[in-house]
Amino acid sequence: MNFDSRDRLWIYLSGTAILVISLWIYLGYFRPEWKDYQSDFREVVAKRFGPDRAREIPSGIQQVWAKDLDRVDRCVTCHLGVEWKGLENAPEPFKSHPREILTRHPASKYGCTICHGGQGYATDTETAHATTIEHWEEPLLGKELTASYSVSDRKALMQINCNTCHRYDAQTAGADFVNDGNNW
Amino acid sequence: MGAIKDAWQQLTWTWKPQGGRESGDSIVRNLLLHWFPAKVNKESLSFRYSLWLGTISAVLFVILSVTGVILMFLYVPSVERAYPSVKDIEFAVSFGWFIRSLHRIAAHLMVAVVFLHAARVFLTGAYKNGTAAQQNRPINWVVGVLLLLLTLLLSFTGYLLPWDQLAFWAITVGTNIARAAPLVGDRIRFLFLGGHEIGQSTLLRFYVLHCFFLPVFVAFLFAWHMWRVRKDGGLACVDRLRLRQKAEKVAPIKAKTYSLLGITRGRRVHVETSLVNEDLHTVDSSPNLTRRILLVMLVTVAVTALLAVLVAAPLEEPANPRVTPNPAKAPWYFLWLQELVSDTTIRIGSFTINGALVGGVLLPGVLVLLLALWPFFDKSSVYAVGTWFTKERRRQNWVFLILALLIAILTVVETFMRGPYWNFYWPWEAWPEVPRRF
Repeated sequence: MNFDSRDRLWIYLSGTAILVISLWIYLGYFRPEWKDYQSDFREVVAKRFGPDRAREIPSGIQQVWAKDLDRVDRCVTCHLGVEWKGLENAPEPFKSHPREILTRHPASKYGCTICHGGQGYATDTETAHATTIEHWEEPLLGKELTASYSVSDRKALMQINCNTCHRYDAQTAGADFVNDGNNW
Repeated sequence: MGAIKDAWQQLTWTWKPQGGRESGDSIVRNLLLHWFPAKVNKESLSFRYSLWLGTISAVLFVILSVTGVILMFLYVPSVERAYPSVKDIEFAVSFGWFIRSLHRIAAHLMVAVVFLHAARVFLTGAYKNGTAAQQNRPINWVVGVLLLLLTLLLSFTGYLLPWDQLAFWAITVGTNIARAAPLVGDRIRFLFLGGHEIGQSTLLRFYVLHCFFLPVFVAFLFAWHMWRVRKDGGLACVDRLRLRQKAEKVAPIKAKTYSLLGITRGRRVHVETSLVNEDLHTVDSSPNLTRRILLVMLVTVAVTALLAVLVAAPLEEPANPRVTPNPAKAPWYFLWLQELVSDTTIRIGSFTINGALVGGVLLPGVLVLLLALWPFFDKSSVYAVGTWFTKERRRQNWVFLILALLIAILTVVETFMRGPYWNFYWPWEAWPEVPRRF
């Protein structure tokens, strides 16, 4: 019985398979989705504000830890322009956040998902926005959901989450639909 | 310089053999050098005989231990932090998703492979003793059954740790079935849960069992299991060889005969040996056995890693005691039990048979006991040892296969055909929509 040659063949084959799988995993590690968004953002900032500002942009996974809410939101890994001034007309995901509401609800204290919904833990678009995935019951209250529910006002659905804190207020500034509901 | 060298040797050499005898002892007494026998039977190396399932399950256990230890640095066993820590492993830790997926795939594979290994040992009659002295394969079989139960328990305790809906309710189903055990059922459940509800105490004791006690028990039993194989003279196929050897007539060698009165003429005496002809049937362990073990290790790691990349580990919504998933199912290796429980809960007038007791405790209890003690009931001869599907053991093999097939069928039915409200749905029938938030 010749064990030798057949065994060696299988050893080489399985070793190669393990190597290929490792390379495949490494490739995914070095080319995550957010890296592309971050380099695009650097280009946008370099064009608008100059290379010095672009150099200040951090790289890697970014997160906001809203301690009081016990939440971690990693939306800012891609949505890097949220607290910047001057990116109001930039394309998503680089657009600045409307100033007024952000001043009253700073991201460092509230995070993002408490108002916007979505899965703060995630670092890729589909999982983070959570409109098409299973087992996350707080999808992003944005364009996709608004379209699927055929709601006319893009910001209407978001007001659901105002109720997380403002449920017992008689009237909440900026939450017209909720106020209407309260008036009934 | 000499002083430094001496000091270094004092620190690093635990034992420096003095002289020839001690040098010999240092080889003869070395455990690692004698881990494998010097020579191993060619039959034992065959893939077709044992399918190397035992080795595969050992490799899976090593994968689980390594990935498990890594996960222990990252996972937090508290009801508030467990779920977020698993999410962090998935998204924030480098390769965390892969380590977790590998751990999960290896766990499921190990349950399946250990069961298949038990099935192989049964079907080859390898739990039987051969003709060699001091064999006790039935004891090794019982140790093996204990290892199977420990594997199931390890998987069960690990299942709770992500603290998501899948985990919480699977353990609810499992521990509620255990509650039906007569006399001690409630106490067993209390001990398991650390209270009356599944909560922090449950999570913590499942974590401690899963990470420390159960692996230690498995390691100890595994060592005993391996030692017993060596003590029993190797795999059971070696005994088959010995029996065949006995049947072969060895040609008498022309030789002198010696009697008490000196050399006589006439009748010759020769010794018929029942030892296996080593030259014909054995090969050196190194490299043949070691190379095959390396091969099995690499193939197992490759297959497990590939599955880990292709199949994502699930993580459902965070555990919510107030919201029961519809349907709530036990882990896949207990689905047959859950199906039995539901099938034996029969209402006759105003009386309901306690399905949890009948289908969940009594029936599986009897099956496990029968499985563990079968070698002591088996009346087949020594010629049935170490052979696939002998005629002599045909009936018991058929019964085993039918029972295993029934368990497999129940598992498949439960996975795909039990829907909301535990109603039966054919595979082509759609399940009704269960309300969600959006």
